[in-house]
Amino acid sequence: MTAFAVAYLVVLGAVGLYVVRLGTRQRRLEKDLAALAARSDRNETPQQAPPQAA
Amino acid sequence: MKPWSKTTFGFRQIGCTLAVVLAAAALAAVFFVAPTERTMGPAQKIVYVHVAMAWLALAGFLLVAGASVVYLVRRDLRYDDWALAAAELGWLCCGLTLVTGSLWARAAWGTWWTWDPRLTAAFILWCIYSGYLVLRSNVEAPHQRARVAAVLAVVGALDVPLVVMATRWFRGIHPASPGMEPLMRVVLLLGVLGFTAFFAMLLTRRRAQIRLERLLACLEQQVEAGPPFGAGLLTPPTSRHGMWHGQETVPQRLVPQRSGRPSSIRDPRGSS
Amino acid sequence: MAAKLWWVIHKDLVSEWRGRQAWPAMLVLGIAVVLVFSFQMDLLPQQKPALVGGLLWLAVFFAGIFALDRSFAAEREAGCWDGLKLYPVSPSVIYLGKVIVNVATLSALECVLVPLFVALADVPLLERPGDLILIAALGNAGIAAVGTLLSALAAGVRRSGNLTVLLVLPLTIPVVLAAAEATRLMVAGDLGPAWWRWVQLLAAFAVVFTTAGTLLFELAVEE
Repeated sequence: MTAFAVAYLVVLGAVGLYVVRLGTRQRRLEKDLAALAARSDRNETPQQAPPQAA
Repeated sequence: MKPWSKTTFGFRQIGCTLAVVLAAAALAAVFFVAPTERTMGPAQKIVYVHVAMAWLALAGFLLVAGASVVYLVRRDLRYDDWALAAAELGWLCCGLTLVTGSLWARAAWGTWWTWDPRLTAAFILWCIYSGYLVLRSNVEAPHQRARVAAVLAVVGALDVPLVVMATRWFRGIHPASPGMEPLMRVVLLLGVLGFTAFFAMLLTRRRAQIRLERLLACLEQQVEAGPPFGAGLLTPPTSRHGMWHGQETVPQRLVPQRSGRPSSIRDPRGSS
Repeated sequence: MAAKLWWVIHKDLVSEWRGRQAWPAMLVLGIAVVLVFSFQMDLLPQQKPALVGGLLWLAVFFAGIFALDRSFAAEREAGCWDGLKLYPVSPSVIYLGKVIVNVATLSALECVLVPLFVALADVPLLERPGDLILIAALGNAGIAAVGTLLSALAAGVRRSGNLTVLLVLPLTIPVVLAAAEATRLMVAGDLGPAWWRWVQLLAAFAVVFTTAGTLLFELAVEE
């Protein structure tokens, strides 16, 4: 009984961890993409940088 | 994230749902339909997941090798994405094969591990998978990484039959075809189908994710470069200021991309 | 082509002679392993004939893989790839040359380790020298074929460390297993069909991987 339970728990646990990892990576991808978009927009408007002392 | 009401129900969603349903049905069959074996008790039911995992580990390696060969011929990184996704899942399945096999062995033969042919071959396959992933993590350039990993995958694929032969001649107590009554065979088949469907779904999801990660890395490089290449990536060309009259679009790929085409070692003129 | 092959072999052997330090270190490692094993075998005098095959090939493997890893050391560290590229020799010839050098390296290692084993552990390894040479030749060819290819692969990776050993170990298990079993059967005097099967496996491994290496080497070292 115990071997059976451990085996299936391990399998389902490992698969579950992988699925969670997939989800976490997906969310991080979306976050990084958004940050990248913001940086790209910032690159476009350099004239908004504070004026340097002459 | 998109609100639920806007989710489209295309092939992808149907496929994922089907995979999950099949896997759930397989598990339910194992728990409720499969008869309990007389001598071993409930522990015998481990075989349903063990066989599925072993099959997936082997199929995964074939996929890695196949995708690697196609990459080496076509030099398209999309095939390398498939190779990596298959390697990750194959490594997982191989590890689970060893764990479930070990638990079954403990229940059946009283020992956690034995150097019996199939277990040994599975262990060696796991080592090859691990070496593949370690090698990949040590190389950064995408095409070099893909090429080097592909060569290793091909060598590994050639090795596996020899490993199986060698370990089989050594000795063996692994049950070849366990005596199973028909209902058990049905549950076994269902288990294999269910897990295969589920892992195929995971494979496609992971591969798409790898492709997105690659895209992100390329975009990051572009943005790092600053203006003009790394600026206004989100601004459509037609709404840009300061465009000269008549020019509707700006060529996006102004940075020459390094392709996978090799410079041969014997090219005395040097390479690009 | 034979001249170019000889040039590659000659280059590697001469640079080894001039102080690349792979052979001495390999011999020291091999001798140390054999010493430790012979202590163990002394504690189990009855099992000696059964154990000697496995232990000998383990010693050869661990010491040999160390030298194999160094076979691309010059190219990796001193940037000799550029020089090699200028010479109009095809990559397959470079590969074959390096494999031959590595086979010679492993053979030299065995020439030291086998007599040492015989002297220390008193096992009848040299009773059938022809058979032992056959096993050793095929085993060396197999290990060298895989080891040279993977060493080239790992040479291009900057932070490789002991990557070669890690990669080669699982792949050469059939060779080590087959050679150990063949040696054990030979020591026991049993040269029947079982022994032949292992020798055929060794031969198959050597042929498959030398062919594969010849074809894949160019892919492994391209830039």
